[in-house]
Parts: sequence; C-alpha cells; structure tokens
Amino acid sequence: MAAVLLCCLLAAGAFLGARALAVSALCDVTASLGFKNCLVVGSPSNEAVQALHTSGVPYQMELWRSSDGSIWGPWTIYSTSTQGVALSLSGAITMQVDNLGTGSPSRYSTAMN
Amino acid sequence: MTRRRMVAAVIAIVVVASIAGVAVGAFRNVGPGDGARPLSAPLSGAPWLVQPTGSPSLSHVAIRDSVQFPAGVSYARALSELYVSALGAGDIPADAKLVAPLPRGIVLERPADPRTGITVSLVAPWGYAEDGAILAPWVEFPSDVSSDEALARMARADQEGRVLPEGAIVAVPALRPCQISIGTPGPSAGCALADGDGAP
Repeated sequence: MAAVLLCCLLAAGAFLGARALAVSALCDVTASLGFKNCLVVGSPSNEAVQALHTSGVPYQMELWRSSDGSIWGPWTIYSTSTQGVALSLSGAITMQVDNLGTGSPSRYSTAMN
Repeated sequence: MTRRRMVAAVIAIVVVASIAGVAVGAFRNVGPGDGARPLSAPLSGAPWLVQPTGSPSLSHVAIRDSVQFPAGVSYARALSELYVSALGAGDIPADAKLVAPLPRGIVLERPADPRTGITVSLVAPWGYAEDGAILAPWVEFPSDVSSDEALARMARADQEGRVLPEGAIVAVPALRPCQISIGTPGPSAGCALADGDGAP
C-alpha cells in the first residue's frame, strides 16, 4: 500500500513539475526611462500583459533573454485589453514594458507561465 | 495479495496512467520559439513563426511568397485565418493561395480592383517594429479578462490542443502607412528602418 501511494505521489509530482508555474506581478513603469523589467520566468509557454489605465496606452512590451541578449518584439499596444503571446522559449525570460512616456507611472498587469 | 490490495493497486495504476497521459500531451507550444512544429513549405522557417534567438530583422531575412485571400476577406480576418491554420496545421489557410512576394517592407497590399482579395506578406504578416524587428503574432482578450485569467485560458488551450484560447481574438497590429500598399507596390516600397537599413 505504501509503495502504491508513493508511486501516485511521485507521478503527481512529476506531472505538476512538468508545468511552468504561473507568475504574475503588477509593474509600475515610469515615463522616459525606457523598458522596465517586470517579470522573469524560466522557459515560459505563455505571457499576458494588460495596461490597467488608459493613461498607460500606448505602450510597448518585449521579451528579453539576458543569457544571450535575445529580444522578442517590441509589440506596440494601443488598448487596455489583455494581450497574450503563446511562446516556446527556453531560458530565463524577462518581460519588459515601456509606457512610451505616458501616464507616469503607468501600472501594468503582467503574467507568464 | 489480498483483495483490498488488488483493488488499491488497480486504482493506483488507473490514476497514474491517466495522470501520465495528460502530462505527455499537455502542451503544444506555439508562437515565437525554436520552430519545433512541422510547417508546410510556404511557412517553413518563416521569420514571424520561427524566432529562436529573438525577433529577426526585416533587413536580414529572405524574401518569400505572399498569401492572397479571396475578395471580401479583411486584414483582420486574414490574420485570424493565418494564425489558426499556421499554428494549428502548420500551413496557410485553405481558401488562400500563394502569390509572388511583396516588397520586403510591405506587409499588406490592398488591391486597386475590389474583385481581387488582399495580399499579406509571409515575411511579416503582423508587421515589424521601427527597428525592423519582425513581430510574432499575438491574441487579445476582452477588457474584463485579467492577465491572470488570460494566462489560465492560454494554458487550458495548450492542454486541450486548441490554438485560440477561450474568448480570445487574433490581434490586428496598427500598421504604419508605409507598410501598406494600395495596388501593386513599387519595388522599394516599405518603411525606412531605424537600424539604418531601408527596406529595399
């Protein structure tokens, strides 16, 4: 019985461990300071970002991998709707937001998993 | 082995098998990345799909055929069809056809003749940034969907093998006028890039 329970626990653990945990953060971005690092996740599968006020629009979002300097984007967003990008990236990925000089500071909701 | 232990063992085997089955098929990664998914010839190596080391520059990628849609299909609908077919089946939409390449800097050609459908670049269908970085596609959720909820919906779509998450639409970029051609574009049409390389 103990062996059966151990097996189930190990399987459940492997299953949960195979998924990147979701990480989210509110990111306050000051105008005229370029891109701000908002969130870092290892090998993310998805990312989502939302400007929480119209004063923070338009804004740009990009993804940066510090290990080799790779940058994806920037995407320029003109809406307060949540934007999502499906990913297939390896390594530690930093989500960065630039509020393009508007609504200083501007608050953004960021998330990756 | 007692009857109770046998029942427990069977239940355990069923649970473990179902968990393992879900975990193996849980994720179908799409979007910018290493291009592990199989792609048809028109999309193979497409710089907006395959981005292993960042968004490639428009100046440094090869020209490729464009995709023309039937008359009446809008740019928004064209992108939606392209997103679903490319990230799903790995191919261009069934109702679209391959046509000659657009000039490097042109993302969208609106025909002078309305009986002809629009043509979308397969180099950068979602456009490119001012520095020439080719943008990967993305989706947009209703305003009342938080980023956390959007992420959860994207994860569920991955698990269930769906390209579009619940409630999401394919995002349409705000193209600059220099990225759009009305009628057949000239060979040097397109935006000057901030990296100093003009669109040839």
